[in-house]
Amino acid sequence: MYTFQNDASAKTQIQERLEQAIAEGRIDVGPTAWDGTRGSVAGIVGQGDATAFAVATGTPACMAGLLDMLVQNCAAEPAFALDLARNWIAAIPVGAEASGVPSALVVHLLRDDAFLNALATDADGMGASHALITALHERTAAGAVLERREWSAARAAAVAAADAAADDSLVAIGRLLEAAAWPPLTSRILLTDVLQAWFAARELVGRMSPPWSVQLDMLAKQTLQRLVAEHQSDLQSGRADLFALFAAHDPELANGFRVNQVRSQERGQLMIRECAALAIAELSNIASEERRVVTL
Amino acid sequence: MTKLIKDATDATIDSAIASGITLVDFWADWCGPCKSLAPVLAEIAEHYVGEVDIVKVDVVANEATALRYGARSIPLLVLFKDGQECARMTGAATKTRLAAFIDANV
Repeated sequence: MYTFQNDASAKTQIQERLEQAIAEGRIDVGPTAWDGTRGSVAGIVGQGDATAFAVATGTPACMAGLLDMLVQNCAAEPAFALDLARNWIAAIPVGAEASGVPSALVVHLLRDDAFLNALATDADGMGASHALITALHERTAAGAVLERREWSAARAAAVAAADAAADDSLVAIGRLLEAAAWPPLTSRILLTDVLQAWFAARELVGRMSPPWSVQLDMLAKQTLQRLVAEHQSDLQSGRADLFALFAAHDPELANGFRVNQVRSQERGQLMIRECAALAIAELSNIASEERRVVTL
Repeated sequence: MTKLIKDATDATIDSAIASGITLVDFWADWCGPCKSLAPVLAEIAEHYVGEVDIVKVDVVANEATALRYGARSIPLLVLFKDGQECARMTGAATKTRLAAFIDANV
């Protein structure tokens, strides 16, 4: 399947359809949907579900869910979200072969430095599972069609590694590996599952970075639970504020917790932008590969 | 395309699970986690096509079946082999964990 069915006018038509929907306020933020008039970005583009998006753009169906998920996560900045939608479609070259894009994206997400650092000290098989699943996606991105048993074995290894993980960060990385252990071209939810797990794992690994730590996080949560139990009626009636109680009880811990929460929100926005930029770069990249083939 | 996930009712549940391996999803329209499980189940149905039948039972419309199988907390997934229950799991599950649940019990 070639992008836009190798027809430049099909791409122009889709871009015009998207602009018209934006101008008329017919974009709904949420999972891929199309009701004949309104819809999510991918729903508008394909005038249907994820499969219709795949037919219209010539990119794998799992890209539809990813696009809509990223737009949804940018909803607080509508102009950025709409530009993301425009740039996504604009980045897809006409007449290219895009089947390797989802796996290339997964490889990027798995090769995150934060995970590689966390796995460097792991001796429970998580590192091996990470290497195996990354390799499967590298082969898929290069055009190989893998046997079902290879993915099954990778999934079993990821589940075993996640179950054996010693701390929350490794469990979260294990969940990411589990989500990634499926062939991308037979799944509509692979990339949304992977992205959700990636956000969770990145957030957890990032949240526990110095000066914050697993121990401080646990202590803060235990303190908050105790304060909730001790001041339940005042909190329920609005006579007391939980964070004010926390700050009075242990100012240093409360401040560290608050700073970490703010950083967490900032990290969330950065992760969304990072992932959107990565996806658009991968889509643009298939153009250069196509040109290389033509040049050769 | 043939619909891979079929609906069963109080009247049809026995025949739906009578032979082979069947995964029954007990759900309700008001249940948020049931809705988030739907795309996962759709892909599981495709993955196990010809090996495992997936059947949905609306617990509101089919109270007798819900009562019979103790579907007090939903989503509830019950795996049957030739009409006999062999395993169950409650709550939303990821695609990988649901596949692991099926693989471990069939």
